[in-house]
Amino acid sequence: MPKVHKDFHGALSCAFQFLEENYGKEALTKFLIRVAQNCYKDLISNINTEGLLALEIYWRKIFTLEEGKFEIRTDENSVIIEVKECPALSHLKKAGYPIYKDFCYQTEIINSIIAKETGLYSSIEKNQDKAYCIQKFWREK
Amino acid sequence: MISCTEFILAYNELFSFLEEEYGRQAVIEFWKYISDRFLSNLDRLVREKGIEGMKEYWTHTLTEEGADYEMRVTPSEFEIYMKQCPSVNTLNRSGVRKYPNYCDHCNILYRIIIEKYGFSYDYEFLDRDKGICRLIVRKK
Repeated sequence: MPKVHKDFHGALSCAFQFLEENYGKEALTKFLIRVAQNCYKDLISNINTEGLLALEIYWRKIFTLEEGKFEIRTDENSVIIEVKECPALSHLKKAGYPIYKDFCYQTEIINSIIAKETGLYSSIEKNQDKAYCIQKFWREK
Repeated sequence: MISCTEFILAYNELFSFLEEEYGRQAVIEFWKYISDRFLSNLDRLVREKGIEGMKEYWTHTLTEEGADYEMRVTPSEFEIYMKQCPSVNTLNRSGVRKYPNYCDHCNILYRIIIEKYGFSYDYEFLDRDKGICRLIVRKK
């Protein structure tokens, strides 16, 4: 399995902090929407052609590559990703990098845009201190 | 979570976003901020070990990033000849719009730290499109 450079999460955390300190939370939101629209084009396209399976494949690959502890549950109309130990937060804590106070906000915004662009709904229950979240994508029955 | 596999795309997007919304100076201020707040590991290695610390830092990062490079280390000089920058390669393969001054971050981020400890820092961009560049650090 290829190795990923997990320090990148530290640079992103720092970037979120910079945006909020200098331009406010609205700037961070605007930036994350841009990231979702421009950097997740392939995933959005795959969901639009292959359905929820594309989401499951993507997140299974990512959390495996990043060595996160996770479980993905699916049914015909939904994908639920339970992140039991977020690899990004675990690495930041282990390496001693400063962690932006709302680091998990990225997931909330990016998932909402991915859902919007694919006709799905999304929700997230998050606990940043515990590096834990439940992300859900679903479509109306 | 923005995965490490998407980081370069998001980083590139941030540079474009900052310049479009707040001007070129905002991008430079961000690079200085990152140098100050994020590169404490490089700062410590250079402060404690000098050129050996640079070797340690870049061997670790460039190996993890899968760079194609040559490194030359002597007691008074440190050189990286980047034959294919992994970030530029990622951007080229992705099809996203590359921030025109993307490569400049390497000339600012690390320079601040290296020069602080009494070294000269020369950066030569040989081919920005292909991600070929050369960094030469010398003891003053």
